[in-house]
Amino acid sequence: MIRLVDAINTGQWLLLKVKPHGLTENLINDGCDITLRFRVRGISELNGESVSDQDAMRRLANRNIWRLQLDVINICKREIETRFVTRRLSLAETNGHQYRAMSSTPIYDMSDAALSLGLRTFSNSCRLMPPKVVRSGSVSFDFSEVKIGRPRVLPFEIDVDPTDLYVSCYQGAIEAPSS
Amino acid sequence: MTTAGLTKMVLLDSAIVCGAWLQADWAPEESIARNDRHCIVVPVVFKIRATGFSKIVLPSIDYPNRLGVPLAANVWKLDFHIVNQCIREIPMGFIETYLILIDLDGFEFIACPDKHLSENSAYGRDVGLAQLKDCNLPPKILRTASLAFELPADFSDLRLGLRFGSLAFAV
Repeated sequence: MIRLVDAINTGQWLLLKVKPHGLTENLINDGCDITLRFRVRGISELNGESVSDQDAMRRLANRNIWRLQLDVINICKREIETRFVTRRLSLAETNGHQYRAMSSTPIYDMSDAALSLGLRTFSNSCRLMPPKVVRSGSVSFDFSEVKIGRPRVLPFEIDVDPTDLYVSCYQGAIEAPSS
Repeated sequence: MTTAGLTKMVLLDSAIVCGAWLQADWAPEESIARNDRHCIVVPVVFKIRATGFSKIVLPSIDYPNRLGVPLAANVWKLDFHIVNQCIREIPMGFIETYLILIDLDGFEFIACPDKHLSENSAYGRDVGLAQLKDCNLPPKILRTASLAFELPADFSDLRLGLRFGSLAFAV
């Protein structure tokens, strides 16, 4: 795991590696690890001030959502779905608890706000990321205590400062290229 | 064979310059064919002739904000003629899924599945990107169509291939 603050300050390119499972995933990189190169450009809180339209403001009200800005390059032989990033990239505490990226953007995917904040890039809409192409965008993390409509039971402290977290991968590994 | 599942490929520039028909054969191993979402009967055989390859200026497309690919993306349009040589029709989505471009390092690029670019925009309909949508390719009928490919900023010596199949100059 790499400390989020260090990843942002150094601007270092990192590798996200996941072992493939099943026929479809094995085809992506000829049976080798599915690997993305990425760097974290920043993290910021996503609140009503970040957006201008009323609908987006309403969706963000009373929630503790943070936006991680990324540049991502697929270095596998074949294309992967953009939602692979939101499914695998996570933020973790030192004790191992992981906060997974939100599978869908809190703002309507096709809205101008989602476009300008980069939330459309890795959203749940099935888009493809061809090899070698740089994709710049954002993934969001929900640190709210209660999700809209249903309470969320978390096994860890809610009151977390996202900048104190580590960049992590759900069922995979994060590596610095030299290691 | 540099890439798994690809036996023969053709240099794209040569294919366009000489304008010859290319023979495509798709007969993958059983596990691949069984997972094909088009439920197609193998083998699939068709002829294709590449006629042009040009860059698409994405910001000039109508309603560019609706595009799924970033406006700064490097997207190119491959124009071609195609004739189905199977006994039955080929689902058009099949061509979109399996016709690929391969770069010098063996990285594969499939057609860009951007709904606005290919189907909804006036641009997509005008230039033939919508031709491969929601229709089948009947046997023996010549069709003219185009596919868009998102490529890296720098590429060279692209080859045209058929994923899990072969593509070669027709004899």
